[in-house]
Amino acid sequence: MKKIVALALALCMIAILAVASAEPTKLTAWTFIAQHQEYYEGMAEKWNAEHPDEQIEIEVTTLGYDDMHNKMKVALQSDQGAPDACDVELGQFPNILAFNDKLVELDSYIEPLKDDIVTARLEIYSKDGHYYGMPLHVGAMVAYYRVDLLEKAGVDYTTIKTWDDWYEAGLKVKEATGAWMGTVETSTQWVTTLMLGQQGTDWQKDGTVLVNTPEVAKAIDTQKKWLEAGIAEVCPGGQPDTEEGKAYIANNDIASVIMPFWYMSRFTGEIGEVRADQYVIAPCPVFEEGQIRSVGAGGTGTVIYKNGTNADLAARFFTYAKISDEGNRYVWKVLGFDPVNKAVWEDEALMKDEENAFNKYFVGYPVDGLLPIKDEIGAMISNEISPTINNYLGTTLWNEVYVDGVDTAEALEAAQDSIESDLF
Amino acid sequence: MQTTTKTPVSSRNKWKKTAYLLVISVVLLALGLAAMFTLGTSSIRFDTAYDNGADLSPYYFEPLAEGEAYSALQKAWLAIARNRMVPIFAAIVVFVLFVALNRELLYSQNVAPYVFVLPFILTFLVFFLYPLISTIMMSFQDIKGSGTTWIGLKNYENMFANKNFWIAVKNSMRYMVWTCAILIPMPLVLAYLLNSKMMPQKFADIFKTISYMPVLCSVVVAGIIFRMMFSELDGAMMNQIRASFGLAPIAWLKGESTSMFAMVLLCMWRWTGMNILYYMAGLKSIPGDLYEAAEIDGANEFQKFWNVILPLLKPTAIYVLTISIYAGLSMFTESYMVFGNNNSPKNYGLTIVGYLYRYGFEKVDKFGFASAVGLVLLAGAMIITVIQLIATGTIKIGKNKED
Repeated sequence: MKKIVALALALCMIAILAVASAEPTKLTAWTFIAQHQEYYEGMAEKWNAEHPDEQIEIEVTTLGYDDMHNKMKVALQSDQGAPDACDVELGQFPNILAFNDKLVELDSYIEPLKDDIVTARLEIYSKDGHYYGMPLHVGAMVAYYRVDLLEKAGVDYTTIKTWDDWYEAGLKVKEATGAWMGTVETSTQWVTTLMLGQQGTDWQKDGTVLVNTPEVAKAIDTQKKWLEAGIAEVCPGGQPDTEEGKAYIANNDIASVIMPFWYMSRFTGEIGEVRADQYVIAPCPVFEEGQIRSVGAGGTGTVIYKNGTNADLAARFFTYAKISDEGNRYVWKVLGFDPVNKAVWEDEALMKDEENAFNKYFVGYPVDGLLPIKDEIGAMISNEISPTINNYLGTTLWNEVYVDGVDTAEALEAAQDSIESDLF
Repeated sequence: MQTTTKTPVSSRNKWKKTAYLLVISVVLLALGLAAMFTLGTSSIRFDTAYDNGADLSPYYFEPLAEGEAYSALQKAWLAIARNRMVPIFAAIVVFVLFVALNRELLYSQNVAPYVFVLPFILTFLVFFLYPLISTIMMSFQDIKGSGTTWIGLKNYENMFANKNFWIAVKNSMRYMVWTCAILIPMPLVLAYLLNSKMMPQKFADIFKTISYMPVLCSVVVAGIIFRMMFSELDGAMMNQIRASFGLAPIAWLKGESTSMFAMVLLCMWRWTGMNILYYMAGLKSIPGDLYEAAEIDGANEFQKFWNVILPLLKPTAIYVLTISIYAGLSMFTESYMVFGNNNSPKNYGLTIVGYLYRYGFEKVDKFGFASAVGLVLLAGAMIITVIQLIATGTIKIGKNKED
């Protein structure tokens, strides 16, 4: 009896192995955003429908932000255990690019699609003229306004053109409703980076750190003024895209949130129904009219591991999933990001589909906040010295100027010195 | 019972006859290990290059000129390096053969002790001594993806000139002092109370169980819960407690002392139960007649505690202090979880290990620097512990001379 059972089990094993070997090619991928996992799985289904003789099975693992990037760095350094593909956040990209000899050069995959794509988004993931990362979205900075609060205060959001207008509107909102006009970030710098882009500068140029500049001081003083006037508060959790930040927006009256376009998915996701039909998406204010109204902020570039067993297939699949026309339509439908293929933006049937979850959630159509800034999206540098700069800004500088009330000039001087001494 | 400290002549001769097996085994093992260690983390890349007939010069030997070939000796070495597991396994097989031919060696009183300590020696060599030596070497190197260069004391110079390093040292020291100041006396008093005859047994058992439970809880889970408790939102637990006293909510994790308080509280919550257990064990080992003698002499409860229990618990307390010092200095996970990542406002939560992690893993090309940080932590912890052990009399200097 025992022998028969053993034999049956052995046969089962063989059967399972035989089936397994006939299965589609397995691709592994790491990401740190849960929504991306669903997205890739959806795109894999589409791929399999279109490529019957090249079936794939994608295994996406979602890890924590720091955890995933650190694991990837160690995996590349030791050349062991890296997945076929990995989503790398823009701020971390320079660290991963240090191992570009272990990543697939994506030029030949991207070339046929290049004309339709916002090239600035490809260049942020490049090194020495070669592309290593596949972009997913533009990440244009936009303003999310609470229409109901602004109406109560008698403000028409379309008339907010400059930061001065925004400030005046904030005073009115505070007067009429007691609500906050906005938040000030202390752990990152979406708004401050936008303000720098608007003034035509960046955090660095040609390897020189540009923290102690009049442009940065102007951005800080503008936001200090909001705090002093009591129209904005330091954001809990350090910035709106944290657990605490999202809970704060869901549970408090915040008349405007200045964040990248991808923040839309946080509204429909974690912030949820409580804020449905309240926010509208519009271009950001500027210092002086004529300045660019947006910069590309944040984003993930998918890198392909060169020494993986399926590097070519992985590169082709992720090209299809992330930057093809088909992929870009799906990006909008599922993730609500601003696709890198701008031709898709103008497709009214797609972008203004009434059934789309984002069109349902927001007042008006989100794309109406995006189309006017189509040609005004600046690109900010991210390279190997960026992590050091961002680290100091996010841990020390913002807390000094906004929480401890340190004098702007003094804090900036210390910041410049400290960052330069950290760059050894 | 026959006890022979010397191997009989006949078997010694046999031993000598098969000694060549031992030599072969050692040589094979040395070859395999040499190939393994010289390749290090680039082993898989080397294997691929070898199999593909690609350039092997990044791993061994100078690059070949046009039309030149590796010498027979070089070829042999490359083949051994490619199949490095073969000599290692062969060494084991030959060694087993040697032992099988000299079975009386297993019963020899000279050899047996070495066999028994072998597992420890091996793990010590492989997992402690080898990493320690390579850390010391790496701390003088600049390690990049493209290659390694010796840079002398540059890593140490950069570290001591860096402001964040001193912030990390300050934070770790503060944390260590606070945890020692709380986790040494408090569990001692609690253990004494729980052990006292006046304490109802049932209550003591329940209290012990509850206070021990946090030890079993993962620090990751505990850290996340503490992060939520100490959130700056009005609804967070600590701010609600403040509100019940009529105080305004504060941003706990954005203040220097409040964030330290959160981390120390987490440590206290987690380890009080464990330390109570150590002290309980110490208390149980104090003979009952000492209490009796004290009672006969008319000592009150406090005098018994001060004059009998405390001196006899000193060895336990020293042990707890020693592990607390190291645990405090090497704290990392607590801060990482309480702040949600390794970056805290104004680096209030940055510890020495966090600083090491930032350079070793969060940044690239700074592995050598991180090794230097690790060594400084090791040296610092060692100095503090030795001073502590001398001060408490565990290590006695010059005792022998006095005797």
